[in-house]
Amino acid sequence: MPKIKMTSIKKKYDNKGEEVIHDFNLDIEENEFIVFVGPSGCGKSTTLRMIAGLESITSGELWMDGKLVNDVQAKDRDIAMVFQNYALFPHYNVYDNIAFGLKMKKYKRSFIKERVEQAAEILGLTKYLKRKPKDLSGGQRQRVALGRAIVRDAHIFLMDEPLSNLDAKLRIQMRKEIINLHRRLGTTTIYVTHDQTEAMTMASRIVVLNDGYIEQIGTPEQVYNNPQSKFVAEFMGSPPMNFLEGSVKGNQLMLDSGEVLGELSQSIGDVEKVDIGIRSENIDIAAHDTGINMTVNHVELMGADLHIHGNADGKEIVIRVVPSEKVAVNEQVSLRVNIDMVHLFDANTGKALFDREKVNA
Amino acid sequence: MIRLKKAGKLFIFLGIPMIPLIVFWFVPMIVSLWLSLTDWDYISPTFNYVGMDNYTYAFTSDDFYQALKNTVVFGVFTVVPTIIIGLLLAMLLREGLKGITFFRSLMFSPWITPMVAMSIVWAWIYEPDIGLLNQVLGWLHLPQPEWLHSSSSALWSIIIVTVWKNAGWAMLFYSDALQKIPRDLYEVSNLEGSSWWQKMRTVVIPLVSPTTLFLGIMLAIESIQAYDQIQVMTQGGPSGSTRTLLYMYYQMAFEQFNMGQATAISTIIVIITGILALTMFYASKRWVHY
Amino acid sequence: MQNNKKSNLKQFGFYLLLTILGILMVFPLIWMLLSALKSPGEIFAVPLKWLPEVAQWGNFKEALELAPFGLYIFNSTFTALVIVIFQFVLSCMIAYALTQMKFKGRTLVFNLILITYMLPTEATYVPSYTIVAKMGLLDTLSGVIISNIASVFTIFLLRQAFMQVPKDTIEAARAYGAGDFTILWKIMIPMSKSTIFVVSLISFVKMYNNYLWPSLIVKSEKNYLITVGLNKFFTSQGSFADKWPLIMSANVLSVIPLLILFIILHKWFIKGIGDTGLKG
Ligand SMILES: Nc1ncnc2c1ncn2[C@@H]1O[C@H](COP(=O)(O)OP(=O)(O)O)[C@@H](O)[C@H]1O
Ligand SMILES: [Mg+2]
Repeated sequence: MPKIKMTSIKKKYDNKGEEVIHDFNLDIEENEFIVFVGPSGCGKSTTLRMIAGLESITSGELWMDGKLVNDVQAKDRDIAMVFQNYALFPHYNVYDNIAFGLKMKKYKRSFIKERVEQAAEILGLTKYLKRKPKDLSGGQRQRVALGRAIVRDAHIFLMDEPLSNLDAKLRIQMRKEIINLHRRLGTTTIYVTHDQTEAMTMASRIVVLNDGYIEQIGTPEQVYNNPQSKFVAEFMGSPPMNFLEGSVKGNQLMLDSGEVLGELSQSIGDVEKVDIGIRSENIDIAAHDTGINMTVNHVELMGADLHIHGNADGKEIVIRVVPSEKVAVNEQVSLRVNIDMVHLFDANTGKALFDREKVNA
Repeated sequence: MIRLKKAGKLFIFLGIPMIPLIVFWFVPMIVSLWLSLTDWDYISPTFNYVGMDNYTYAFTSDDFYQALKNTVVFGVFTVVPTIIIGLLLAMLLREGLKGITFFRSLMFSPWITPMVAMSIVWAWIYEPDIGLLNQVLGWLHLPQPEWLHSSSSALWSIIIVTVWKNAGWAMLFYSDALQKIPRDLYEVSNLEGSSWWQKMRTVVIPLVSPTTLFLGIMLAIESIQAYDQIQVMTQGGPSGSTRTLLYMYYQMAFEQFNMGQATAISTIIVIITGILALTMFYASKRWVHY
Repeated sequence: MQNNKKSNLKQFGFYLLLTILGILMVFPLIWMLLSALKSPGEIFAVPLKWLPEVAQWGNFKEALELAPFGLYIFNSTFTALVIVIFQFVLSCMIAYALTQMKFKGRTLVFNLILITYMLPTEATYVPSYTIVAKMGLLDTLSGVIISNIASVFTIFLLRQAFMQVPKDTIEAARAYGAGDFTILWKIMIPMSKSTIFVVSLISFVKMYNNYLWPSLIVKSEKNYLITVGLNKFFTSQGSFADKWPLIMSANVLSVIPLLILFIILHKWFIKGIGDTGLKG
């Protein structure tokens, strides 16, 4: 029995004509760390809030532990939620903020005290229990919000962009803390973010959303290595995937310019227009002329990698090479594409033309 | 089930707390409108429908027009000075001044006190022969009007009291509005070498205009409802010179028990208030800068 | 140096102006107090005497013997307090429903309340009077209280304040197991407490100073509010010239509770009225 089961869930806001979530289906198992990722406005928060019971479900079914919960009120779903703006109670100190959920359940004072102190210990908040939220830093506030969630022993954690108000360094640190917390408690978690790096580094499974539709569900590796649509391919990964336009004829992959990239290892039949996706690490600078030329626009040293930005075949391209590579701006270089690692998408529908997992298997 | 629960909650949070509002506001408003079509006299259990007679009577009586005129004069000459004095006081008592709270408290204190008590004090100050005001005017060799005793000055005497009592209140709103004007706007006009009046016209007045609108509406509505000071100081006299529509309504309803005519006047008052609020509201679209 | 002197002088002039203006504004209050302490001879003296020869504190005692001002003040304070408490409870609930509950006709209800805010209360007095009479509450303090517990002003401002409470915070409370009453009591009210305090303060002052409506409801002396009792005293004693010092003493008595309140809480009035968002 899945922990959470969502079938054909749809959402339409009263004050807005069109549907914002269309036919959402997802099974979440106990202990998973699910990340909903997608651009702003794609419906991540809406979905999360329906799970929390903060937003009504227009149609479809939401099951938790085998119980239909569509009509169960938020307060009775036994869920802990962490919000983007922390949503701490400004008139309560840290202790009372963390204790809030327990007090609502009317636990004994001694029990509450024990739980809160334990959580504060885990989160390094012991020194700050008497402070009001306004006297805390952003990171500390977010820890309080996490503390409020973990003391409850809720069976599901929901987190809506909890780190997006923090600066970059703190974000990376808190990411680790949240992952460790999940390892330690094992609570089923749904985490919403628009940041694909967060999704890649934290998730046990990623749900990529676009415009109210699920684009793909899979582990970070599956989503990265085997994107099922052009949207996912573009959205996941940094720097973003490069795209060239071309066609497939008799298993030959050709650019629109006429240049042949190579032969596909798997036959997919002839396709008139394909979008060819190539990750930056799957393109090299060739020593000889390959017929695919790029003019270098600029070069960025990103720590261990060198990113070379340029134009090839009328498209902007980024390639990732070792820093020892020597190129100059405005120089023309020849590119070599690893044909076994290209992703092909139907230019009309955006759907992947083959499933790499099946190929490799 | 969930519907029912929601309806129940709504009933508790909105339904029950609304009862007093319905009983003492909504229902009386409607009943009052209906009474204005009758000749009810409060005492007798029966009454007749008289159609628009009460309104016709009002619109053809000189007393009504005198009261209307008094109401307008009273309104205009309390609202405008209160707003101007309020703004000037607020500008004088600028943020950051030492002792600002003390001075603001002094200016505001008249608002706290009961109008009834203050009207009695002012009636005493206004006494023509022995009152403070005329004695001071005498020393300064200025004319000494009869104040509350003369029909030409009574209304103005009441206006002065009303402005005095409300100016501090208006000041508080302006203080807040002025504080929200960005400093650099003043600085820009300082750099351009604007005069005081230019600064007022180009920076202050436009930027406090939402406050002016709010105060204008509130004070105007309040001026229509003025009663205590009239009741204590003049009872509408001498010879009707301080009888406003509201005071006329009070006399008809609770002195003469002529409920039909009284409610007709009150309907007219409501309509005037409504028109006033709407006009101000739409006028605001033209010249208020939010 | 020169400049400094000049600006010091300017500063001094400015404060002098403020002081004069301030004294002018409170002068009627000062005059009231001075008059209350004069003897009948002094109060009518021409040319006028600013200060009493000997402060006649006995005037207060005499005024209190002529009418029970202590009782009137108690009646006023008591009714105003009870009214404010009722207004607070009812308005909180209505404001909560208007801001946190979704239902058909929410805008309509709010607009009705908004319109009522603009309309003169006096227009309702004839039917309201009849209603109070039908309830058998004429000449009772309950009559004054019940007919005043609906406050559109309070509803309106609490709604404003409740709208300032971040949605996330309310949802967090909800997600952590709080029901509507808990959210109202533990979240909305504490987070709006300064607005609530200032609004209650203003309501209290208005109710204490209220005259016309209570003067219609209460008839017997034991139920007089201070404003009613004071005006009755004024009309009954005003014709006797030598009673003016007593009238002024009564006036002082009626103002003192509010002045004390104001002296203690003046910061709240001064800061609160401008910025609690009293402006729709
Ligand atoms: N309360 C609301 N009322 C109406 N439309 C809403 C509301 N909240 C969100 N939406 C709309 O629903 C869509 C999805 O929003 P949201 O779930 O907040 O996206 P995300 O969290 O992915 O950025 C957007 O088009 C947004 O405009
Ligand atoms: Mg969102």
